[in-house]
Amino acid sequence: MAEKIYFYDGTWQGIMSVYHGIIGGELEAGVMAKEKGENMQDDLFSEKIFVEAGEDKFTALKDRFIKAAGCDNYSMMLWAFLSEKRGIEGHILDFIRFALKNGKGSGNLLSEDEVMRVYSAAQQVRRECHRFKGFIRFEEIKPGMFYSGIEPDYNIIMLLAPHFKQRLSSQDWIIHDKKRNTAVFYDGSKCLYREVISFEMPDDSKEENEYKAMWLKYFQAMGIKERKNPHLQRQFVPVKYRKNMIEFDETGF
Amino acid sequence: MDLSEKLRILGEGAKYDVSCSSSGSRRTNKPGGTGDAASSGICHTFTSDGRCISLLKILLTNTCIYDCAYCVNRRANDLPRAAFAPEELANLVINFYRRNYIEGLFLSSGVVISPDHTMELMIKAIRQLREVHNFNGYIHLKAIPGASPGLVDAAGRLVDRMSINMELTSDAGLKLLAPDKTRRGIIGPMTQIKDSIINYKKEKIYIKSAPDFVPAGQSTQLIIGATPETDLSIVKASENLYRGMNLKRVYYSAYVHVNQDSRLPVLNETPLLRENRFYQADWLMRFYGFKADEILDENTPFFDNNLDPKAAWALRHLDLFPVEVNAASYENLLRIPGIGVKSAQRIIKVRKLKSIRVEDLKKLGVVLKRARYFLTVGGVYAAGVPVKDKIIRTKLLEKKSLSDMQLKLFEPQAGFLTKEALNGGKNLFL
Repeated sequence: MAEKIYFYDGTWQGIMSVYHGIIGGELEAGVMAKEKGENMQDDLFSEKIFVEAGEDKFTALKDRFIKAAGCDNYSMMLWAFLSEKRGIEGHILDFIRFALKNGKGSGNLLSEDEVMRVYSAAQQVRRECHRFKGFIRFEEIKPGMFYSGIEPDYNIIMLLAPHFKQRLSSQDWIIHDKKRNTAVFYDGSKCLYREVISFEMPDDSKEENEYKAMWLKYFQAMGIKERKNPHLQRQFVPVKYRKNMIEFDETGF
Repeated sequence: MDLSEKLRILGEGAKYDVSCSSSGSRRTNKPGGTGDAASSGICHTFTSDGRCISLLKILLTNTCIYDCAYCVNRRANDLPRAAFAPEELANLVINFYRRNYIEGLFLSSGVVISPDHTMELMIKAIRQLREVHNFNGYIHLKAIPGASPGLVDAAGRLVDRMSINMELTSDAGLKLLAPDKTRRGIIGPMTQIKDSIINYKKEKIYIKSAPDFVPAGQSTQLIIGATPETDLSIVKASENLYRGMNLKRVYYSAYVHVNQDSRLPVLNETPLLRENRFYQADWLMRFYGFKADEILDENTPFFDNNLDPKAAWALRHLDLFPVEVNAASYENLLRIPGIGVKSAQRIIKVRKLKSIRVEDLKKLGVVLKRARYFLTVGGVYAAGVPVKDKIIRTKLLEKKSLSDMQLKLFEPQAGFLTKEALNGGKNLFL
């Protein structure tokens, strides 16, 4: 019999709707893939089915999961999903089944493969998210409007938004994921998550350049030459992140 | 003098202070305000020496009436002097914060005119930030030894953390290298801050609107290697500070040779490895249930260059090993080299479900390279060598050069990638 491939719209609600079908027995077992994703295989022998995201299906599974396995395990799955790693959809499905059986402590049972795969993906996302809470650099592109462009490995801007909403609540800001062409816009009261069609960076104002220059000067002054240790610095600020941080130049140093 | 030059001079004067922690407070943003301190520590960047920048660590002025031998800002040094006006500094902090360069302010100062006069200037700058700019981010204030109780109290209501650097643990050391400072001038305000934290907390139980006093707690710094004290005496002093003063953190700063002075030792290099050993010992005291005199004793008053203090302790107590992973208490698991707080907790949780196999240990975060010599799994000792000091010591040191360790074993600064961050904001490291 032909293998089933379930396509979903790329959102968390979408994949949860697929899980709902598979766990409830309405859908047969199969592999899962994003509708516009790169793992869209041109496979003649498999049967391709698009599963529409459904609010009811999503909520039903979410509630059932949280009741059985708790919020911590639920957010762990969501983080793992945002890693966008190949095959993560299948691993999360395994974890849902495991957690529905084993309850709230499931996430701690790292000796089990079902848990470890999701846990380690979630951990990587959580770590990158934590790093970016520090590494994001805003610049004032219009009076009162601050912009930051980043290129994270994982899809984290939605996770970053609440953090900046809490602390920078009295200014407008944009966090732009240049890799995924998405952005979070904050307008002083709420965050909007949008796709970005195009963006042109305006020239920096004189004031903005002064702050940048002062930060750079301060940053350079803070190094202690008797303790110089570029290896350690690279461990903490990997070169891949440096091109969007104003204290490092294009070459990363 | 232009602002950026001031920033450079006053930043350079502050950089030898090692603390940059920005965690452990509970101050939250207010409507219309900027900044929030109620999160785990966040590092915003790392300098060329691999230390994190979390707070804008800066001096209000580097002019100083004192002449401490080890200090770059001492009176006798011929260097450019600068000072911020309170509003100037407040404006800089708020603008850096709005660009997410920093997590807050770490304000220290040289002593101008008198300790009280200096404290007043610092309070003015902080008040400007809090009250005019409505800034609710993290502020760490370095209190000036000898400042009067009224000023310490006023400052404590405005900031998240306050610290007074002890620098030298012995009276003799202080007399020799910091003749203008007295032990009383340091211990006095330290005790006041400790007592106030306790009293304000009590008040808060009954009156919800009572102000917070230094909600992220008090810390201090000790210099390592400027005077001939033993490591044992410094670790003991540190233990006393944690117990007697309720300190959140003691920081250790490897002595950097910045001044020519006959009272100072001439070291060929900055004692970074020794500094790191102090942090490891500090962790053992705070999270692993070790006492100072277990870490070092009269027979071994200095740290082992080649072994971390936990492994060194284990080798001195081989009669307690090997430990059975499936049976040992949490406290005993923590004593095994290669098992940390997180992996010990995981072992306990998994054990409830099933017995642990050798192949599970790595997944649970156990560093088998070290741990294998100290444990059994289901009664089986898998290291394949006798439990003897010399043999295990040689095994532990295989393929581990000194320079390698200096690079890798640094204190996790200000919560960066530490358990507090990964525990969803629970502040394990303060």
